[in-house]
Amino acid sequence: MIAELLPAAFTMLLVEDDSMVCRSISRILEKEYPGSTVYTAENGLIGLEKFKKYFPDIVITDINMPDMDGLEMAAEIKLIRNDTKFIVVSGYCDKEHLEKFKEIGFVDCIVKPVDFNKLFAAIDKYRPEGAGRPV
Amino acid sequence: MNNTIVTTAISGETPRIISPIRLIARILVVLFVAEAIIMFTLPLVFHTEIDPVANFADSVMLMIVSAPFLWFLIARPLHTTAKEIERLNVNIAARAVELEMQNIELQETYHNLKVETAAHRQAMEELREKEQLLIQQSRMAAMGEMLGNIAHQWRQPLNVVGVKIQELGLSFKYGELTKELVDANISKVMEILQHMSQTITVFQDFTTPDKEKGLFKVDQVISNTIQLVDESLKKAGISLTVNSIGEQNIYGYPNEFSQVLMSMIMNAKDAFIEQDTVSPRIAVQSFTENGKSVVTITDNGGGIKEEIMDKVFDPYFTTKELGKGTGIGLFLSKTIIEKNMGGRLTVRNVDDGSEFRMEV
Repeated sequence: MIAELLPAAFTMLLVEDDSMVCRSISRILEKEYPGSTVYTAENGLIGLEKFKKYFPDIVITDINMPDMDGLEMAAEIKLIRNDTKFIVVSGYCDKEHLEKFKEIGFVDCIVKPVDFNKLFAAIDKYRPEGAGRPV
Repeated sequence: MNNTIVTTAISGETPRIISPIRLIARILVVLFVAEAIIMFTLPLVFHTEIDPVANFADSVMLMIVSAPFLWFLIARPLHTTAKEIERLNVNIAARAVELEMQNIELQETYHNLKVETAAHRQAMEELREKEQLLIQQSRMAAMGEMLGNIAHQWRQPLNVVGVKIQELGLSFKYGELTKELVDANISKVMEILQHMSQTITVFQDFTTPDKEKGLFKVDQVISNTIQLVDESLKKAGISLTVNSIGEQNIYGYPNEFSQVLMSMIMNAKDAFIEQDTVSPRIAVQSFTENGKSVVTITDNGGGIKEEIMDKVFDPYFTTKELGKGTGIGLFLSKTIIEKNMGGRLTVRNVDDGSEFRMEV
């Protein structure tokens, strides 16, 4: 009962190079999942640093980014924690790209423009049991 | 006479001609001999001594004696001359035949030439058609490339618009919808839509041929062109730098100029893929030199092999896989810069890549 009223906290890392989109999505995620914390990074390098610092439960990442792209970052993260859940947000979720994403063990590919319902559904699947949504 | 000679000559037989002079000489000799005989026999028959007859006989004798001399002095040279003339006639006839043959040959040649010219014209037409087709194909390829560029360029702004719109609905759901948020998001979305709309205009300009020459700003055309490709370059991990020194104006066709720039940039991009270049870079520079506007496009894609350096601007020359390159891009670029705008387009290898240089 208590768990339902006070959802367990879980953390997410959002890596997206468009800062405005990044801000909006993180704000929406924190509203949608009260008690969760969303860390943001604008490229793979910063994303990797933030991962090392916060060990988020779920990593939501763009693929094409300056400095270090999503795939390179994911490979590095997997060395740190092998069972990290990745949700890829990309302009391309076709077969060819999915093959590549498979290597990092992604769980879902959300095609841009992002549909929040799909993003929420993906997060719901992989967030820790009972954590997140109050409803 | 001439006709006979010609005919016999043509039929290949030896000409049989009786000279009129020889005929006359023969007749004269016969007449003299006959007369001498008559003159000798007449007195014997009539047993008379007639003076006139005797005189006549003497003169006949004289004539008989002089006949050989006459023959040698007059008839022989005349005969020789006649023979010479005959020979010449035969020669002339032979020449006529030869000429006739040459004429026939000439006519044949003329006819062949006519046929050849027609064939040549047809070949030229076919070539022109082929060329048109290739240009058309290359335009289609450019359009495909362009569509790819639009796709890259629009993906991100479309995502922003999507996020901003959904943010309004979600904020309402969370009970946090404020006037500020609505205004901010609407103005942001409108700004993005304006930008996207403007991009289509630039793309449209790019594919529309310029109707007439005009003065255009080089850096403006450069930034417009780069606007078309920067997203797709970013996706490919290619860094692009632009450096304009001073403000150049060119009198010419801006859209064609933009097409050339695009060709050069796409060429560099293809080189990077082919060479698997690590940290690919393209640098576009514009400056003035000796009163001319110069634009250089430099890449670090490994450069052009020396042995094909002379061929890169040739029509239909391509090093790309079948179906990848039409071999017309650089050829058209050279045509645009040199023929249409009176400038120069050259290429050379630099440290670790190639440098295309346009001078107008």
